[in-house]
Amino acid sequence: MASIKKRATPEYEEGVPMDMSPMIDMTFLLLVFFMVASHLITVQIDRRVNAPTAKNAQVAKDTTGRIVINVLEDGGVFGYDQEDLPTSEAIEDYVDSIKKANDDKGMTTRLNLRADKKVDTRVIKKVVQAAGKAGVNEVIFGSLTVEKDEK
Amino acid sequence: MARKPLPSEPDPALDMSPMIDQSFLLLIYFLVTSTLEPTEADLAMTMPTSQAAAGSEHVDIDMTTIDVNSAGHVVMNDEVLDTDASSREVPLLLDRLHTYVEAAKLTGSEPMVIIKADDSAKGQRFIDVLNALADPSVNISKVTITGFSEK
Repeated sequence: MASIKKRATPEYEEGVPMDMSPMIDMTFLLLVFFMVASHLITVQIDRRVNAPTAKNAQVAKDTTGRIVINVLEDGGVFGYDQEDLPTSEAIEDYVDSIKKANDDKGMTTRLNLRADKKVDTRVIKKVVQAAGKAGVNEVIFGSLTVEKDEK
Repeated sequence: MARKPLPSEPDPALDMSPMIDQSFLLLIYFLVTSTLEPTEADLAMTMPTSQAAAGSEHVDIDMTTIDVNSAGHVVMNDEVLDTDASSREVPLLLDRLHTYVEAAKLTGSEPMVIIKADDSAKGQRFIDVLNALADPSVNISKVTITGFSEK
Protein backbone atom coordinates (compact mmCIF):
# COMPACT_ATOMS: atom_id res chain seq x y z
CA MET A 1 0.00 0.00 0.00
CA ALA A 2 2.74 2.32 1.02
CA SER A 3 4.61 1.83 -2.27
CA ILE A 4 1.46 2.54 -4.31
CA LYS A 5 0.86 5.79 -2.43
CA LYS A 6 4.40 6.97 -3.01
CA ARG A 7 4.11 6.41 -6.72
CA ALA A 8 0.70 8.08 -6.95
CA THR A 9 1.89 11.43 -5.55
CA PRO A 10 4.35 12.45 -8.34
CA GLU A 11 1.86 11.41 -10.99
CA TYR A 12 -0.70 13.76 -9.49
CA GLU A 13 1.77 16.71 -9.44
CA GLU A 14 2.79 16.18 -13.03
CA GLY A 15 -0.83 16.51 -14.05
CA VAL A 16 -1.00 20.28 -13.30
CA PRO A 17 2.13 21.91 -14.73
CA MET A 18 2.27 25.72 -14.82
CA ASP A 19 1.99 27.03 -18.35
CA MET A 20 5.07 29.16 -18.81
CA SER A 21 4.69 29.93 -22.51
CA PRO A 22 2.99 33.37 -22.04
CA MET A 23 5.77 34.46 -19.71
CA ILE A 24 8.43 33.35 -22.17
CA ASP A 25 6.55 35.06 -25.00
CA MET A 26 6.52 38.31 -23.08
CA THR A 27 10.16 38.03 -22.13
CA PHE A 28 11.23 37.51 -25.73
CA LEU A 29 8.96 40.31 -26.88
CA LEU A 30 10.56 42.75 -24.44
CA LEU A 31 14.02 41.46 -25.25
CA VAL A 32 13.54 41.96 -28.98
CA PHE A 33 11.97 45.39 -28.38
CA PHE A 34 14.94 46.67 -26.38
CA MET A 35 17.42 45.19 -28.85
CA VAL A 36 15.71 46.98 -31.73
CA ALA A 37 15.01 50.23 -29.84
CA SER A 38 18.57 50.64 -28.60
CA HIS A 39 19.83 50.20 -32.15
CA LEU A 40 17.34 52.70 -33.62
CA ILE A 41 18.45 55.49 -31.30
CA THR A 42 22.11 55.09 -32.15
CA VAL A 43 21.71 55.26 -35.94
CA GLN A 44 19.96 58.63 -35.81
CA ILE A 45 22.99 60.45 -34.45
CA ASP A 46 26.53 60.51 -35.70
CA ARG A 47 28.55 58.56 -33.15
CA ARG A 48 31.74 60.41 -34.07
CA VAL A 49 30.44 63.65 -32.54
CA ASN A 50 31.24 64.03 -28.86
CA ALA A 51 28.47 66.39 -27.79
CA PRO A 52 29.23 69.18 -25.30
CA THR A 53 27.58 69.47 -21.89
CA ALA A 54 24.93 72.06 -21.09
CA LYS A 55 22.83 71.67 -17.95
CA ASN A 56 20.11 74.03 -19.14
CA ALA A 57 19.47 72.18 -22.39
CA GLN A 58 15.84 71.12 -22.85
CA VAL A 59 14.70 67.71 -24.01
CA ALA A 60 13.34 68.05 -27.53
CA LYS A 61 9.56 68.37 -27.80
CA ASP A 62 9.29 69.10 -31.49
CA THR A 63 11.73 67.56 -33.92
CA THR A 64 10.03 68.53 -37.17
CA GLY A 65 11.73 70.76 -39.69
CA ARG A 66 15.21 70.21 -38.38
CA ILE A 67 18.32 70.31 -40.46
CA VAL A 68 20.95 68.19 -38.80
CA ILE A 69 24.56 69.19 -39.36
CA ASN A 70 27.34 67.29 -37.64
CA VAL A 71 30.68 68.95 -36.91
CA LEU A 72 33.49 66.56 -36.03
CA GLU A 73 36.46 67.23 -33.79
CA ASP A 74 38.80 67.69 -36.78
CA GLY A 75 36.52 70.40 -38.23
CA GLY A 76 34.79 68.22 -40.81
CA VAL A 77 31.19 69.24 -41.53
CA PHE A 78 28.67 66.58 -42.51
CA GLY A 79 24.97 66.57 -43.30
CA TYR A 80 22.39 64.15 -41.93
CA ASP A 81 23.20 61.43 -44.47
CA GLN A 82 26.97 61.92 -44.24
CA GLU A 83 27.07 64.46 -47.07
CA ASP A 84 30.46 66.14 -46.97
CA LEU A 85 30.08 69.94 -46.71
CA PRO A 86 33.60 71.35 -46.96
CA THR A 87 32.82 74.99 -47.80
CA SER A 88 30.41 77.69 -46.62
CA GLU A 89 28.74 77.57 -50.05
CA ALA A 90 28.14 73.83 -49.75
CA ILE A 91 26.55 74.31 -46.30
CA GLU A 92 24.43 77.19 -47.59
CA ASP A 93 23.18 75.14 -50.55
CA TYR A 94 22.48 72.14 -48.33
CA VAL A 95 20.51 74.23 -45.80
CA ASP A 96 18.72 76.12 -48.56
CA SER A 97 17.56 72.95 -50.36
CA ILE A 98 16.09 71.46 -47.16
CA LYS A 99 14.57 74.79 -46.13
CA LYS A 100 12.74 75.04 -49.46
CA ALA A 101 11.35 71.52 -49.03
CA ASN A 102 10.25 72.38 -45.47
CA ASP A 103 8.65 75.65 -46.60
CA ASP A 104 6.55 73.70 -49.10
CA LYS A 105 5.31 71.53 -46.24
CA GLY A 106 4.63 74.59 -44.09
CA MET A 107 7.23 73.69 -41.48
CA THR A 108 9.54 76.11 -39.71
CA THR A 109 13.14 75.23 -40.40
CA ARG A 110 15.63 75.09 -37.57
CA LEU A 111 19.26 74.18 -37.66
CA ASN A 112 20.24 71.36 -35.33
CA LEU A 113 23.98 71.84 -34.99
CA ARG A 114 25.70 68.87 -33.44
CA ALA A 115 29.17 70.26 -32.85
CA ASP A 116 31.91 68.31 -31.11
CA LYS A 117 32.97 69.86 -27.81
CA LYS A 118 36.61 69.98 -28.88
CA VAL A 119 36.09 71.58 -32.28
CA ASP A 120 37.35 75.13 -32.90
CA THR A 121 34.60 77.75 -32.64
CA ARG A 122 35.65 78.91 -36.12
CA VAL A 123 33.78 75.95 -37.65
CA ILE A 124 30.66 76.59 -35.53
CA LYS A 125 30.64 80.23 -36.64
CA LYS A 126 31.08 79.14 -40.25
CA VAL A 127 28.05 76.82 -40.13
CA VAL A 128 25.84 79.33 -38.26
CA GLN A 129 26.80 82.09 -40.69
CA ALA A 130 26.08 79.91 -43.73
CA ALA A 131 22.70 78.86 -42.30
CA GLY A 132 21.89 82.50 -41.59
CA LYS A 133 22.63 83.37 -45.20
CA ALA A 134 20.24 80.60 -46.28
CA GLY A 135 17.56 82.20 -44.09
CA VAL A 136 17.60 79.89 -41.08
CA ASN A 137 17.93 81.96 -37.92
CA GLU A 138 16.95 79.43 -35.26
CA VAL A 139 19.87 77.34 -34.16
CA ILE A 140 19.68 74.40 -31.77
CA PHE A 141 22.93 73.16 -30.32
CA GLY A 142 22.80 69.46 -29.56
CA SER A 143 24.17 68.97 -26.07
CA LEU A 144 24.02 66.58 -23.16
CA THR A 145 22.50 67.55 -19.83
CA VAL A 146 24.89 65.33 -17.93
CA GLU A 147 28.61 65.02 -18.44
CA LYS A 148 29.53 61.85 -20.28
CA ASP A 149 32.42 59.78 -18.97
CA GLU A 150 35.56 60.16 -21.05
CA LYS A 151 36.69 56.86 -22.57
CA MET B 1 16.85 -6.58 -3.67
CA ALA B 2 13.24 -5.59 -3.27
CA ARG B 3 14.31 -2.30 -1.59
CA LYS B 4 16.38 -1.30 -4.57
CA PRO B 5 15.02 2.03 -5.92
CA LEU B 6 12.76 1.75 -8.87
CA PRO B 7 14.36 2.58 -12.21
CA SER B 8 13.70 6.28 -12.71
CA GLU B 9 11.11 7.04 -15.30
CA PRO B 10 12.36 9.17 -18.21
CA ASP B 11 11.17 12.73 -17.64
CA PRO B 12 9.49 14.01 -20.80
CA ALA B 13 9.30 17.61 -19.61
CA LEU B 14 11.96 19.97 -21.01
CA ASP B 15 13.62 22.01 -18.31
CA MET B 16 13.06 25.60 -19.37
CA SER B 17 14.62 27.35 -16.39
CA PRO B 18 18.08 27.94 -18.01
CA MET B 19 16.43 29.49 -21.05
CA ILE B 20 14.29 31.76 -18.90
CA ASP B 21 17.36 32.68 -16.84
CA GLN B 22 19.23 33.61 -19.98
CA SER B 23 16.31 35.58 -21.38
CA PHE B 24 15.98 37.62 -18.20
CA LEU B 25 19.72 38.17 -18.10
CA LEU B 26 19.73 39.55 -21.65
CA LEU B 27 16.57 41.55 -20.96
CA ILE B 28 18.12 43.20 -17.91
CA TYR B 29 21.37 43.78 -19.81
CA PHE B 30 19.60 45.66 -22.61
CA LEU B 31 17.41 47.56 -20.15
CA VAL B 32 20.47 48.82 -18.33
CA THR B 33 22.64 49.59 -21.35
CA SER B 34 19.88 51.44 -23.18
CA THR B 35 19.47 53.87 -20.27
CA LEU B 36 23.19 54.39 -19.75
CA GLU B 37 23.60 56.34 -22.96
CA PRO B 38 22.55 59.94 -22.22
CA THR B 39 20.08 61.42 -24.65
CA GLU B 40 20.89 64.58 -26.47
CA ALA B 41 18.92 67.69 -25.56
CA ASP B 42 18.39 71.08 -27.20
CA LEU B 43 20.12 74.35 -26.45
CA ALA B 44 18.32 76.84 -28.64
CA MET B 45 19.20 80.36 -29.72
CA THR B 46 17.54 82.71 -32.16
CA MET B 47 19.47 85.12 -34.32
CA PRO B 48 17.59 88.35 -34.89
CA THR B 49 16.72 88.93 -38.52
CA SER B 50 15.79 92.01 -40.46
CA GLN B 51 12.52 90.32 -41.45
CA ALA B 52 11.46 89.79 -37.83
CA ALA B 53 12.44 93.34 -36.93
CA ALA B 54 10.40 94.77 -39.80
CA GLY B 55 7.29 92.81 -38.86
CA SER B 56 7.26 93.49 -35.13
CA GLU B 57 6.84 96.66 -33.13
CA HIS B 58 9.85 98.76 -32.45
CA VAL B 59 11.51 97.56 -29.26
CA ASP B 60 14.62 99.09 -27.78
CA ILE B 61 17.37 96.57 -27.81
CA ASP B 62 19.99 96.68 -25.14
CA MET B 63 23.05 94.94 -26.49
CA THR B 64 26.00 93.55 -24.65
CA THR B 65 29.05 91.69 -25.82
CA ILE B 66 30.53 88.51 -24.41
CA ASP B 67 33.97 87.51 -25.63
CA VAL B 68 35.43 84.04 -25.45
CA ASN B 69 39.16 84.20 -26.06
CA SER B 70 41.48 81.46 -27.30
CA ALA B 71 42.35 80.37 -23.75
CA GLY B 72 38.67 79.90 -22.95
CA HIS B 73 38.41 83.00 -20.74
CA VAL B 74 35.00 84.66 -20.68
CA VAL B 75 35.10 88.43 -21.05
CA MET B 76 32.01 90.64 -20.76
CA ASN B 77 32.25 94.35 -21.56
CA ASP B 78 36.05 94.26 -21.36
CA GLU B 79 35.95 92.67 -17.92
CA VAL B 80 37.61 89.26 -17.57
CA LEU B 81 35.21 86.98 -15.71
CA ASP B 82 35.54 83.20 -15.67
CA THR B 83 38.99 81.91 -16.51
CA ASP B 84 38.76 78.19 -15.74
CA ALA B 85 38.09 76.64 -19.14
CA SER B 86 37.96 73.12 -17.71
CA SER B 87 34.99 73.98 -15.48
CA ARG B 88 31.48 73.88 -16.85
CA GLU B 89 30.33 76.58 -14.44
CA VAL B 90 30.54 80.30 -15.21
CA PRO B 91 29.37 81.90 -11.91
CA LEU B 92 30.80 85.38 -12.55
CA LEU B 93 29.21 85.57 -15.99
CA LEU B 94 25.86 84.44 -14.55
CA ASP B 95 26.10 87.16 -11.90
CA ARG B 96 26.81 89.87 -14.50
CA LEU B 97 23.98 88.55 -16.71
CA HIS B 98 21.52 88.81 -13.79
CA THR B 99 22.44 92.46 -13.35
CA TYR B 100 22.18 93.01 -17.09
CA VAL B 101 18.74 91.35 -17.39
CA GLU B 102 17.40 93.29 -14.37
CA ALA B 103 18.63 96.55 -15.87
CA ALA B 104 17.00 95.71 -19.21
CA LYS B 105 13.70 94.95 -17.43
CA LEU B 106 13.75 98.30 -15.66
CA THR B 107 14.37 100.25 -18.84
CA GLY B 108 11.86 98.15 -20.81
CA SER B 109 14.39 97.18 -23.43
CA GLU B 110 14.98 93.74 -24.82
CA PRO B 111 18.22 92.05 -23.87
CA MET B 112 20.40 90.82 -26.68
CA VAL B 113 23.82 89.30 -26.49
CA ILE B 114 26.57 89.31 -29.05
CA ILE B 115 29.00 86.46 -28.63
CA LYS B 116 32.43 87.12 -30.04
CA ALA B 117 34.25 83.84 -29.84
CA ASP B 118 37.86 83.44 -30.85
CA ASP B 119 38.44 81.11 -33.81
CA SER B 120 40.50 78.70 -31.74
CA ALA B 121 38.24 78.66 -28.67
CA LYS B 122 36.83 75.20 -28.05
CA GLY B 123 33.20 74.39 -28.82
CA GLN B 124 32.47 73.42 -25.23
CA ARG B 125 33.42 76.86 -23.91
CA PHE B 126 31.13 78.49 -26.45
CA ILE B 127 28.34 76.15 -25.31
CA ASP B 128 29.10 77.10 -21.67
CA VAL B 129 28.31 80.72 -22.49
CA LEU B 130 25.11 79.73 -24.34
CA ASN B 131 24.22 77.53 -21.37
CA ALA B 132 24.55 80.52 -19.04
CA LEU B 133 22.26 82.53 -21.35
CA ALA B 134 19.71 79.69 -21.27
CA ASP B 135 19.75 79.60 -17.45
CA PRO B 136 16.15 79.98 -16.19
CA SER B 137 17.11 83.06 -14.16
CA VAL B 138 18.62 84.78 -17.22
CA ASN B 139 16.77 83.29 -20.20
CA ILE B 140 18.15 85.26 -23.13
CA SER B 141 17.46 83.56 -26.44
CA LYS B 142 18.34 86.45 -28.75
CA VAL B 143 21.96 85.85 -29.56
CA THR B 144 24.22 86.97 -32.35
CA ILE B 145 27.55 85.47 -33.23
CA THR B 146 30.21 87.69 -34.73
CA GLY B 147 33.85 87.46 -35.62
CA PHE B 148 33.45 85.21 -38.63
CA SER B 149 36.17 85.13 -41.23
CA GLU B 150 36.59 82.78 -44.18
CA LYS B 151 40.07 81.40 -44.49
